[in-house]
Amino acid sequence: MIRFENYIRVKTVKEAYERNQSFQNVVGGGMMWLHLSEGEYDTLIDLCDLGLDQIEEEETYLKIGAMTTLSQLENSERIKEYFGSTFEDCLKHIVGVQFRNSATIGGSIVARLGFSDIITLLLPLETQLRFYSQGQISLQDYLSGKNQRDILEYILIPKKKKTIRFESIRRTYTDTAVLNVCGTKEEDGYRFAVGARPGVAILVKEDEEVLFGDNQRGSKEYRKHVYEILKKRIKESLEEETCG
Amino acid sequence: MRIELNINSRKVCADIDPDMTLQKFLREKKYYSVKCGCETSNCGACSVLLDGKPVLSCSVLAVRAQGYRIETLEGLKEEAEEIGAFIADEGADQCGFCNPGFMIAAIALFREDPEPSDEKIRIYLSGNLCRCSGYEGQMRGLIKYRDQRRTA
Ligand SMILES: Cc1cc2nc3c(=O)[nH]c(=O)nc-3n(C[C@H](O)[C@H](O)[C@H](O)COP(=O)(O)OP(=O)(O)OC[C@H]3O[C@@H](n4cnc5c(N)ncnc54)[C@H](O)[C@@H]3O)c2cc1C
Ligand code: FES
Ligand code: FES
Repeated sequence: MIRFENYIRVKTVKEAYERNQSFQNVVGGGMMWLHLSEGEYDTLIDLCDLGLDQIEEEETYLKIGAMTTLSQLENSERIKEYFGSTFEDCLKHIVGVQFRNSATIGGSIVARLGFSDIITLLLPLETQLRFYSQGQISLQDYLSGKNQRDILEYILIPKKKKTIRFESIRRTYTDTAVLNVCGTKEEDGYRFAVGARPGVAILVKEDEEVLFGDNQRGSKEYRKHVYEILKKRIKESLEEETCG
Repeated sequence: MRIELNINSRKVCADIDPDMTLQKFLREKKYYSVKCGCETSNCGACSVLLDGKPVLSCSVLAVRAQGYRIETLEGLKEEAEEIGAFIADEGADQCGFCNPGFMIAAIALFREDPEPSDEKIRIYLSGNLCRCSGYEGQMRGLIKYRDQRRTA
């Protein structure tokens, strides 16, 4: 379990950023992942007083504070208005209601977990991230870049009424995914985000090759096979929706 | 560091290590309904309510719970007895270790939605693991509880 000597609730994002420049300190989001780490730190920097827990609507995008919980996303009428039940369909598998009442969207992105359903869900939505120091970058670029000890403030999702579908295969209802896929139909064809490969999710076109690997949840071959099936399910479901 | 928590409407003050979890704190203060199951956010046995919402106390820092209303099963006796009787009637309790976590989740569910569908009950309780039963007893009990409230 994580150990730290001091705890501070920062009052500004600037303060969080400055304190986070020391390798001896660590930022706490929902703490659900972090508390399992074996790290020993000087100070835990808690972001809970920064008001970053709102889902707001700007002219062209939904602006989601990094400390917004997975339950807030799951139950948000604003999100349902733009993306139907897809967020709910995706998030309901993550551990349980109690867990989702604490885990945050910001921590879910910064942790860059290979099995993350949330990253897979957000990739086809052209999600942008707003950091305190780096400014705005796409989620896709963030995933391939280095961790810069920055503070994630907002997640920006363009307000295009996109039809998306999320599918995953799990050994039990709330286990982490063996494979997760989120698809959407663009003007020039389908796009699929593929996660739990077991590496972190990537965004590909329909016929693009995806690299899979082995872990204790499934083999490379199994994942490859399952990918074709999930892709087919998503395409059929998206076609149904477009044809009414 | 010094903290002050509101537990079952009682003010509790203590000096703690900053990295102490709410679960450890509550058990030290003899709230034994809060169980230590996995301590890795997986089983639901340590569930408590924070401002009415169920959370896993093994994964919440005690210091972060300041300013919230914390409720454990010790403070929810009436609701727990009412729902618990239906679960017990279905033979769902075997060793009983998972029961307080289930009760906390069930109380939160029925407060949030007095008439949940069977599917909603299943999803809401999916974060609570039971090593003894096959969950069917808990499901039957909660469905019967919901149905008798409908007709009452
Ligand atoms: C038992 C278990 C099962 C899980 N199962 C699933 C699953 O099935 N599907 C799934 O998608 N996910 C799953 N997860 C991951 C979970 O959904 C969250 O993604 C994870 O807990 C991180 O979110 P958090 O808010 O708890 O972040 P924390 O644990 O607080 O932080 C995670 C990391 O992000 C950093 N951080 C947090 N917030 C910020 C910020 N605003 N700016 C900069 N850095 C920040 C922290 O320093 C830390 O390094 C699981 C996690 C656990 C523990
Ligand atoms: S003891 Fe907290 S989830 Fe298992
Ligand atoms: S009754 Fe034994 S763990 Fe559930």
